[in-house]
Amino acid sequence: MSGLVEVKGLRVQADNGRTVLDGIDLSVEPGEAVGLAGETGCGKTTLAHAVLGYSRPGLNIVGGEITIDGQTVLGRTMAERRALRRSLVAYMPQDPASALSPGLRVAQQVREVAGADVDDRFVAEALDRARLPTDAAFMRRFPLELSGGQRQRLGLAVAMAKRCKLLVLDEPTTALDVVTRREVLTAVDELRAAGELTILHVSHDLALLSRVTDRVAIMYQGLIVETGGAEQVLRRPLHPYTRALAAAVPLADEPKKLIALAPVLREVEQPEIECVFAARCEQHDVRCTAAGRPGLEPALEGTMVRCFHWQHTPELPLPVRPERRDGSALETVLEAHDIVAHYGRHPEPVLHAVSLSVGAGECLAVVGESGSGKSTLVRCIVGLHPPSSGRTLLRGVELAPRAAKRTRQQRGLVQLVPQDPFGSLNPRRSVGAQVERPIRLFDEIGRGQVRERALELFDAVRLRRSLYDAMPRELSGGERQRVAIARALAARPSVLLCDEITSALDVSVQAAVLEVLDDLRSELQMAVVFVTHDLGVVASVADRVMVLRYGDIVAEAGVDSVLAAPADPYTRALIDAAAHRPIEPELTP
Amino acid sequence: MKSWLKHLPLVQRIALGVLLLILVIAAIGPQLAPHDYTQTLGPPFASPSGKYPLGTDQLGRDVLSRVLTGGRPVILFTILATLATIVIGSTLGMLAGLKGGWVDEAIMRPLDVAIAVPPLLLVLILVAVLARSPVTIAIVVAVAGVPILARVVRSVSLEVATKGFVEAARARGEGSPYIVFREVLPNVMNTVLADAGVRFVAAIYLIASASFLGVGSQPPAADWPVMIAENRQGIDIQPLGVIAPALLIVAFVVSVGLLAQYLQRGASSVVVKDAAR
Repeated sequence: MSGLVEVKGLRVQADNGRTVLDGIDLSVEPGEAVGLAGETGCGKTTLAHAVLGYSRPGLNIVGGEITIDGQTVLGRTMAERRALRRSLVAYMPQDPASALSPGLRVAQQVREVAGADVDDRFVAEALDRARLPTDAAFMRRFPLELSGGQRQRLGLAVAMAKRCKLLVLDEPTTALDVVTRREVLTAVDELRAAGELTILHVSHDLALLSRVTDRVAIMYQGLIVETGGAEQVLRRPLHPYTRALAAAVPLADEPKKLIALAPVLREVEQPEIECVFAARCEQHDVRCTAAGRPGLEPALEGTMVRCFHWQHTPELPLPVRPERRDGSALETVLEAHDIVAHYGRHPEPVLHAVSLSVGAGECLAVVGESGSGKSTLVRCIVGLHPPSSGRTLLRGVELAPRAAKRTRQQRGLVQLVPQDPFGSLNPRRSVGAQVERPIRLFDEIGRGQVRERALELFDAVRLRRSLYDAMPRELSGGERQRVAIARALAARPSVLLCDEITSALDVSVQAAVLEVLDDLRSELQMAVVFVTHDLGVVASVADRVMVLRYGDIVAEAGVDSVLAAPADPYTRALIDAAAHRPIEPELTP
Repeated sequence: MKSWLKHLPLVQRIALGVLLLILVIAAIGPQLAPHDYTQTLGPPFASPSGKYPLGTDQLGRDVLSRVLTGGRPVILFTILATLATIVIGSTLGMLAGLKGGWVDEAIMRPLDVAIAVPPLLLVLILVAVLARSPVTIAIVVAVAGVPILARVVRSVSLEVATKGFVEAARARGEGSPYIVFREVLPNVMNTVLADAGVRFVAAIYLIASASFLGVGSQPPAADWPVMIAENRQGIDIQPLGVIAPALLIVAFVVSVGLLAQYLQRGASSVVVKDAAR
């Protein structure tokens, strides 16, 4: 027992008997930063919670041992666990800003955790550690008077007000734009450099973990399947699952075609003795399904792998550079000229004279942080948000500002795939019916053929036909987004507007959706406008990129030239932040 | 349908039974009445006897016959008024939430004024202007319920209106009726149903109050609230003349209330489930 955190044989079950964590062993050395990665539902957050001696309502810790700094966590009363946490650990949840009570001033936030009797100097030191101002005026501010990044760092300052030994980060930056994210992670790095701080960092972002942690543990269905040096795991994964994940991770500084994770290949027959990944594994053999589960065994260079055949796992394929189409050689399909848009009666426009053009078969990425106006631009083009001035042209013909005033044919040719996979489909209607509706509206085919055409669209977006009568809640996030794409394709559009369609998806699912989109684009010669905040995705799918900041275009050029040599300082900051390189401080908002 | 019944908790099952029983009384009660409900058959406020199991009222009429006959107006007008409230209120609420802007203002501002007037006052004023009849009361009940239901539905529709599927429908040029009834209505139906239960109870309360005050059903018509009003002088001699109709009204209100509560809980759990996904 040398590690600061020692987890042995940890088992967590749901009330209905489903196993969530299936015997986890994990050891974190003092001063080490360990990342926990995996897809939604793999149990990574449950593990982080369990380390704190906590389980979400509905889950129960049923076995195993956990010690922090030599003290056992389980087998204590809740009051004792609280006392233990108070002295040893800090926890930063997914949205730490929402953990700040809006009625307390900055200094009070810190005192709330550190104790009411600490003096101003103590508070100032706590704020300074999180790179926050320490003047009296700042300490008297309320959370609402802080910027997003400052709020996040205040959350960190509060969590770290008591000098604790272990910091547990639960997707602390998922909801942040890249620059703010970089800011918060830099603050974490500095805290770590300043003292003996051990970090357990939960994230679905393997690329991010490889940069901010020393070691990562990859989880799949409640088990750690591979653990090793963070760079090593991303560059030379040994478990087939890790390899599939790594191939699907988009990197801003390394443009490559994403490879989607294989779906389930066959039915699981004997769950007790099968390797958990065997059903999706391309290199499984009879040993994987009949010889009992593989253990977590040492492999190369300090890596541990839960696979019988890790020696046979091929290296990552060499990145295939995505083909970029030259927009100037293509027929222009969609143009927007000098779009100015306002929200309500607010005098400051959201968009200042933004223009764009997209050719047939071309993919234009629109990148920007939240509030940059990128979604508004898409809504203006599709006719949901009438711009204050400016023109939108489809194949040279001007479109009315409102969708309702356009002709039916024009509406059909410009289609929108909405953002949120949980809001893009009507939860009360079957997915088949939702794809049929636009066919009936736009396609001049007989009533009898509607279902057949809808099923063809299901094939086109690689959805199983058996899902036709399913309700949206029965589908996964990736499947829902594919239904939303099928619904847009039903109108046979020549322009497809995609508004952050993969932001809420796991990388493996994201790769599958992007692959479908890319194939359809070349097949149907559609112009695609792809709105995103993720430069890694841009590097993988787009031909051209346009960077928006506060409603202005600050950069527009071919993806490779922008990513390699950005002329604009803000664009450079975005790229540096996405690649987790230090960014110039004057550009942080 | 059967599985739905199986999931119903015991209390709600009893409530459903009571409600059905009261509806049956209202529907076929007049045919079951042993005597003519308007005829004086004995001394006023006579105690229960073999011939008159619930005794007689202040004019010597058979209480049982009057109770069996008197359910119809209350129940019928409550149902009609609630239905009107639901149809008008949810349509206005969905339109206001979906369209926003001046449509929202044009719909909601007048309703805000209506919400400020106490419904009973509205009853007394409208009865003075229009006719003294249960129909007038039913109209007032609907007028009193619509603003509240519309507000609730509007706030839920506001959220639904920002969802991607509604945006997609607007972008492909669907008309307002399609968006309101096909895209939005199924997603606010739970809220409408849950609130309808509360509106229903409020409607009974208002209709009963109005009848008790003598501005609804007119004598000699048999009507539960009117019976309570008529027989309350004799409550110390012949309490059944008040208790029987009062008990039926209470049973009606409580059973509807319990079922509405169950619906509301179901609705909110569906919302939570959808949100958690």
